[in-house]
Amino acid sequence: MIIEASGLWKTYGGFDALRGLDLSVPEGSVFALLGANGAGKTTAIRVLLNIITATRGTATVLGVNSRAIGPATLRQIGYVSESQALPARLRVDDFFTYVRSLYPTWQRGLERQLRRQLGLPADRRIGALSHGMRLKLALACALPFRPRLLILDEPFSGLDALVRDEIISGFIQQLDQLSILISSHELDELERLATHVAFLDAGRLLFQGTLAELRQHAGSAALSSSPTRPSSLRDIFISMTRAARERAGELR
Amino acid sequence: MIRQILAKDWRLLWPMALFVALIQLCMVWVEYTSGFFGAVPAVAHMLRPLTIAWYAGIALLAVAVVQQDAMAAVDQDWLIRPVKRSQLLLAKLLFVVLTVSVPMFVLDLARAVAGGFPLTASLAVVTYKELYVIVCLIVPVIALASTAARMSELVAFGAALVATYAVSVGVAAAAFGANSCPTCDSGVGWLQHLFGHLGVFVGAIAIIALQYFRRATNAARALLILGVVALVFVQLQWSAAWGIQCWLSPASNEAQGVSIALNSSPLVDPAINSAATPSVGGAARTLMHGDVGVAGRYVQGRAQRGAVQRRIELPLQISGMLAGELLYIDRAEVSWIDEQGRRLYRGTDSDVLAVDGSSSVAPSASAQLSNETIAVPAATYSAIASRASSLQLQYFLTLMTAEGRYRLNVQESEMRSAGLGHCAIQLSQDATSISLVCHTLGLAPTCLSATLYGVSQHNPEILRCDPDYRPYLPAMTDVLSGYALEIPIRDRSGLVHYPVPPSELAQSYVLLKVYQARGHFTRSAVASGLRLTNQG
Repeated sequence: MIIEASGLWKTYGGFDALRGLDLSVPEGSVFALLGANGAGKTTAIRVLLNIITATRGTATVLGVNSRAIGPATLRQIGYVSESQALPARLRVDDFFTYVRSLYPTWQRGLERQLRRQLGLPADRRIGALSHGMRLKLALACALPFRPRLLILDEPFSGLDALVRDEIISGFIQQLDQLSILISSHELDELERLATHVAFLDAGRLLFQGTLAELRQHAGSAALSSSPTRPSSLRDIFISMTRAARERAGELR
Repeated sequence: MIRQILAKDWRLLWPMALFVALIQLCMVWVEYTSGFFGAVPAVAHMLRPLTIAWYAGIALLAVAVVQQDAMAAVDQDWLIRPVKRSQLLLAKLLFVVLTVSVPMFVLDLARAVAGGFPLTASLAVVTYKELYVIVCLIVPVIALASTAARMSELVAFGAALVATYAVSVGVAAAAFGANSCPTCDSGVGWLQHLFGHLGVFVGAIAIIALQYFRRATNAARALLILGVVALVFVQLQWSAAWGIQCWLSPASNEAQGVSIALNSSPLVDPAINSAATPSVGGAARTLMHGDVGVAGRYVQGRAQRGAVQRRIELPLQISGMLAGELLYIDRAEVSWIDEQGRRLYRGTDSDVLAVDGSSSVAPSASAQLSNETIAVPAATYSAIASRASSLQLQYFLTLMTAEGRYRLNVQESEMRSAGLGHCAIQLSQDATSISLVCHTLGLAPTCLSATLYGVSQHNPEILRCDPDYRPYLPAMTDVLSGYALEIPIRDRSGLVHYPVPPSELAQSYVLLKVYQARGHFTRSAVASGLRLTNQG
């Protein structure tokens, strides 16, 4: 497993953002982390990357305890997030110069190819780029060092369909030998990409497995109360989330 | 990696860094061109706003560079990059040193050399000063900046810290009065400042370590608030400060022969006075320089304003001093005890003991008489006056000797010397006094006296003492220390007659004597069976 988490809890004040999350991301998979707003997807990713510390529980990423993740591990992880704060006053070219210097395995050829394909303007300040262009820039900086693991936190948020398609077809689907952990609301896109999925609701894991296992699970008795059998990822997501909330309501 | 982070921060912040360097350049230019007497008022007036801009610019630049890769944030790009935090910290520190300290070093050195001071001495003092700025300003600002994710957050947190400081000062002043800072306004006050700076530095290092190696923002902020409260409440007690000062100073044989005794019974001023109300502006100005004790005295003064006081003169006889020596009373503690051993009154010159005129004594003979005046509350006076009592005096004293004598012709107007620095004199516009202003590298003299000598006579000696026994702690904004003395030569009201006539000024000269502390010691005097008597 490229990521393994066991019993992760994260509490902010009195609020539990993660409640005993267990996660196993197989190497080479495209693992989709699904959940409604506030389900704990971003918190889980931040805990895994040691950006924040879990209140309880353990996790390993690339075989390293997530609390001990340092530069050596980060050299193998590419990360793109909608909330990533890039230095707004820096020009695109200068940002590449800076990021390039941090990775010994950086491939200039791949960088040039990505920049050309994504149409990133070299002289523009990052702050002057549109949201979509900033995401493209983050993506273009997350790949040229050939990471073993790519973590994408809401990478399609606010992007139009054309850009989404460019990113998925142009890049993510072409990345071989790479494990991807992706969290998103864009279920249609994820259905094209994901080999594995995990459902989170209110910090709890509802399900994890392959897409086939998910469909099997969705057809089981647990969800049969639904008038129609859910077939798409979107339908399954809605059914599972509703069912989880009903159970939580009953418990209350 | 440090080089790459530096290069990235330079690309982002070079306009700001240049602006801060420009402020420093303007500051040095204004200090240099305003000369001794502020000959160009417009330039001299720029000094205050420039000083504020100097501090603000340096602080903002340090904050900006730290927050380019903020520790307290969770969305920063550096968090997912293979960047060693120790290198990140070093890069930030190095950036501030390169953009603030290096220009400051060059400008200060230029200022000192342009002021006529030797290069070697200038290099030593300038290096010391830049280290002082790094330790006392830059490192604490970096620590503060690391506790916030962005500027708005820092402003809010900074406001909370200022409020905490203000409330702490208020509470300390109300609870302890003048004792909230026992060493303030004294020659040993530098020890409190030194411990304060050390505390701030150690606290800043702890906060930086917490943030850069653990990213423990809540703990760092708690430490910061605790540190601000500690700055107000943790005060060096007088006896401890005095003990350290005595330990640091070489033993003085000259001081062993000095004694103080009450010459006769205390005399009571028949006039009944009201306690003066201290000025809010004065208290606020001194507070800005970090003197908590002033706030304490202000609160105490407000509480006692208008209270009826009686003034009691203590006639003192001081013996055992040699010519050219000067005795400075750093602190006097007065206790009145009745026949049953009950303490009726205890005061110090830092709270209710009023020092009459000068608190220093320069004898010309083997014994010297001096009066010290204390003002006591009327109720305390009644208790003292109604019975026989004994008076206990404890003096904390510094013996000073004239280390150098310098002659400055009034006509020449400027003089340079190793002991005084660069001095200039100027006749005031109304021709009532001569102003003496000196700039020196390092520490200004503790006491300085000036005597105007005419053709055949001389005016009384004018003494200026600003006791500060520190080895040397520089001012942050200027590598040179300045000091001044006003020498009166004519009284417009005609009440005072000066022996040297103004017509002789062209042939006159000023004799300056620089006093340095030679030893610190204590003396006590006890007088028993006293009955207070009115002076009138």
